[in-house]
Amino acid sequence: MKNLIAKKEPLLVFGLWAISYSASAQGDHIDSSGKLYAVVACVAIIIVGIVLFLFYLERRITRVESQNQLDK
Amino acid sequence: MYRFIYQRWWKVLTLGLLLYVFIAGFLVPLRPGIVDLTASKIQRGLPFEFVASTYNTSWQSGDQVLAYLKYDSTHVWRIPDVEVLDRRHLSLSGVLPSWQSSAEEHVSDLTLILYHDRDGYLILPSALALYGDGGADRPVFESVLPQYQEWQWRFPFRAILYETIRNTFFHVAIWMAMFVLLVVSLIYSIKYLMRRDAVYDAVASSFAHVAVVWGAMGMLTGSIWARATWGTYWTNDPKLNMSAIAMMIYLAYSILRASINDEDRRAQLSGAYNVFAFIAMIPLIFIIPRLTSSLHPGNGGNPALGGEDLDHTLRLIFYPAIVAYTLLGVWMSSLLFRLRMVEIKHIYAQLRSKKSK
Repeated sequence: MKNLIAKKEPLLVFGLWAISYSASAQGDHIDSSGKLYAVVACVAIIIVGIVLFLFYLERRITRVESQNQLDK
Repeated sequence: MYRFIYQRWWKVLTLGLLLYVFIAGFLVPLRPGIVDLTASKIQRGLPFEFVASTYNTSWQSGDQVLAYLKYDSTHVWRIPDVEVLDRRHLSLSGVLPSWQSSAEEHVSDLTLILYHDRDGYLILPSALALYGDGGADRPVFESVLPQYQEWQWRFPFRAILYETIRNTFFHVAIWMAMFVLLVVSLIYSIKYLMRRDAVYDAVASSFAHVAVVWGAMGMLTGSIWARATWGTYWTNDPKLNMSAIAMMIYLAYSILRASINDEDRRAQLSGAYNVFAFIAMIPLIFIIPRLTSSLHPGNGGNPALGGEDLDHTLRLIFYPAIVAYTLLGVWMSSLLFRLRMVEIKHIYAQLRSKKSK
């Protein structure tokens, strides 16, 4: 796990830099009166929903796989 | 028909549309607008001075900003002194002409209009309450507003909504996609009830399951949007309560399916239940909220998404968004369906081997 984070570190740094850069580049466009956070939260929910669906799908596939193994 | 779900082109299309919706949905800027003023009322015949805060503007000193106070459709008065304070603030001052308010005068406030060649119009309706009397019988001024018809790749600025108008693509479109999935589910449930083929039941249940996921996302995104605009996560709005009931009905569908072990009984019962659920959902979501008043646009009479509710630039992303979420839902449903078919084959194979023993 530690190794994994170390490997992904440049990616993480780049991600944080990209977020802060886009926030500063937009200047006047991002401010709390604009309520952009509500849009970001909604997109986050959509992504979480899709990923939760993937987890559900994975669980069902695992079940079928294990049953297949038992049959053989 | 079933070959369709193994094809790849529409999955690539889904990805393309989603990318378009997410990128354009975030990067297209809002039109500039007026946020608030330092004054709330204005008196006829007296000098005034107030500061207007604007959104998404970049005023520079020397900008030719025109400011108007609109009384009614024919009487628009130009504010003589407009001074740029900084990128987002203008100072407006002058002496408002005076006229008698007649008994039949309906207008009790003035609309503030700002105009600039670069940005077009910025409008704040009911900006200033009008009071005081004296002078001429009728408004003595009449101004012609400049023509500005250039179309811009920008979303409309709406007070209260601000940037959250983008949630049209992340909330409204999700619901639309859910309805499409539910219609498909309904059609296959009816098909099942007519022909008793387990494949139809597998299609119907897969689509209903994904529709429930979409519905849950619709509720959560709506709740967040409500917090940012109406000030609360949940209110007693009929559309909210009715869609919550509709979602419960479909949640019960999933529970019903999970609680029956016999394949045929499950298919028959849930098929019939699905038809009932869809018929129950129509008045809950589409009819009752329109009969009462609702915070949702288009309720309390006129249908939503018509006429002035949806701006052209929004449409350019909103319609692809519906297609994108629908296709993504079809994709997710098709995966569930394929898995279900594997499971069914497995179950029947087990039954056969039991029989042979």
